[in-house]
Amino acid sequence: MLEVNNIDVYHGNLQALWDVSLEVGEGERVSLIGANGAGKTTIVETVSGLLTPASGSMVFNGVRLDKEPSQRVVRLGVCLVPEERGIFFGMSVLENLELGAFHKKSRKVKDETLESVYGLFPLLKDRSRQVAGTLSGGEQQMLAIGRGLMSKPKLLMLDEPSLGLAPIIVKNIFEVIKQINRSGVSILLVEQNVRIALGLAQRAYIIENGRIIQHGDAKDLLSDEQVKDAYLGTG
Amino acid sequence: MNNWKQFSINGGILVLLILVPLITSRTDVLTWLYLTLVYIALSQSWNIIGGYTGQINLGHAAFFGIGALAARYIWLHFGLPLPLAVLGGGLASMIFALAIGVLVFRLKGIYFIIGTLVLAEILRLIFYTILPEADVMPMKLLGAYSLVPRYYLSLLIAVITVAVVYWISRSRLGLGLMSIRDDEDAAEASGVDTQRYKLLAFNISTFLAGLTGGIYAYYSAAFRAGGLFEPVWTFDAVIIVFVGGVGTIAGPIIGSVFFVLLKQILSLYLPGGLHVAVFGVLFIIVVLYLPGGLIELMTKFRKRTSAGDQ
Repeated sequence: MLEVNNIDVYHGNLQALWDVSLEVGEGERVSLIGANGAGKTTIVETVSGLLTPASGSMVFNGVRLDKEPSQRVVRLGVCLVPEERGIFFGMSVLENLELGAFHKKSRKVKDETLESVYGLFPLLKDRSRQVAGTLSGGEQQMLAIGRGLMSKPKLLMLDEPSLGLAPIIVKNIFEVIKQINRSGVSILLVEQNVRIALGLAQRAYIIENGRIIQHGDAKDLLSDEQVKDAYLGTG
Repeated sequence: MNNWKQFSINGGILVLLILVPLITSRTDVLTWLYLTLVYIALSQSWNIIGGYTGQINLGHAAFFGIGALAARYIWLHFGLPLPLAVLGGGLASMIFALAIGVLVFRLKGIYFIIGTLVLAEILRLIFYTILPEADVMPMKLLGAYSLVPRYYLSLLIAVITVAVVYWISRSRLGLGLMSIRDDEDAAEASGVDTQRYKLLAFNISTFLAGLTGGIYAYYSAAFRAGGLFEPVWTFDAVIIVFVGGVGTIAGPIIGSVFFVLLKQILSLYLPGGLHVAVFGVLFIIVVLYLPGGLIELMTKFRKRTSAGDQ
């Protein structure tokens, strides 16, 4: 479904990614894990069209993504729920959600999608008139995911959805992510919390200093001595 | 019910404003209303780019000036009918905005602010240099000068500007613009073509600023071209929007009424130009302690009184 082949990405003159390749299959749950500053966010931002790779290619369902602007990428069915949620604080919850369905294809089915988002997050329905800036952190994350779903994505990329949230809320949110995946949406998850990430994903890639150093089944990685040592602190 | 009430209040005010010249011929009243309407149009047009889109354009004077100058030339010097001239002024501003829009929106944040400010300053200097003579209305027109048609033109443009902002605030365009204001990267990630939307907001805003310039071209007996590009045109609009309530429809209207009233009173009692300092202080106070402007103050007050009723 998504194929990223040997991309190099720069922030200005600084190279952030070296020769990164990865794949997300239809209906699959994949995690990118690694320390702060390893390049995880850069990868999903590049896929979503916010950054342009200097070399390499990205293909989504047979369409080249690497030269497309992000509004085209969204229309093709790839949506990023950005780090720190990127909520529009001055707008109401409903306006935020409507903004998610900004392109024509998703706008046509906006009302149905809205109902299904409210089904996943009933709380958003109760708060639909409230200004988004007054929501709690967990509610904002739900809103960010809901807004992402409004674009009717085939691939949903989530950047650090657990950031700054209480464990019980993180658990809830990851339950919903699984539910979204069951409805046929592929998931590409960026997470610092390796245990949760590997718990959710079927496969994972480990990023270090802008390179993919290891990838495999999430279960295998969970029991891998090196991974345990470096990321789980139980070695 | 509430909508209906709102609608009849607005309609009532509009009818009253239309009737004013029939009720009174006092020039001070008409001038005061005229000024208020011009400021409504000017600040409301800035509100689109600055308030709704969050792009602090400090070169608004440039578009007011181009509109005024183009309208004056089309009307007085080419001798075309006034409506065409005013429309031409708006279009001239918009065309200029189209030409430089791609350029200025390469700048972000503080650089955008500085860039637009410099742009208006450059035009001001150019026009003081190439058109140093005052542009005076011919004697024939001055002899027949009446405030009433000027007043009606300002009313028309103010109504158009408010209507456009009302439409934007409820449209998909407005949704996109507000998302850019709140978080441009997240807007981009949500599929908003941020560059295109910013340009669109810029063009609408400058077109309306150009129309407002057209009112001034029709009103002013004499002006120097450079004076149309003075920063005061920008800063009056910015102060009104922030004092009234940034990114709202009613804010610039209330701000304009308040601004003109205060300006008239202050200039009576304070020595020349000192009222500007008062506005500066007022602006700082509002930004620091009342970021929602007078509108916020009014809603708070209304909530408190209605809570007291219950």
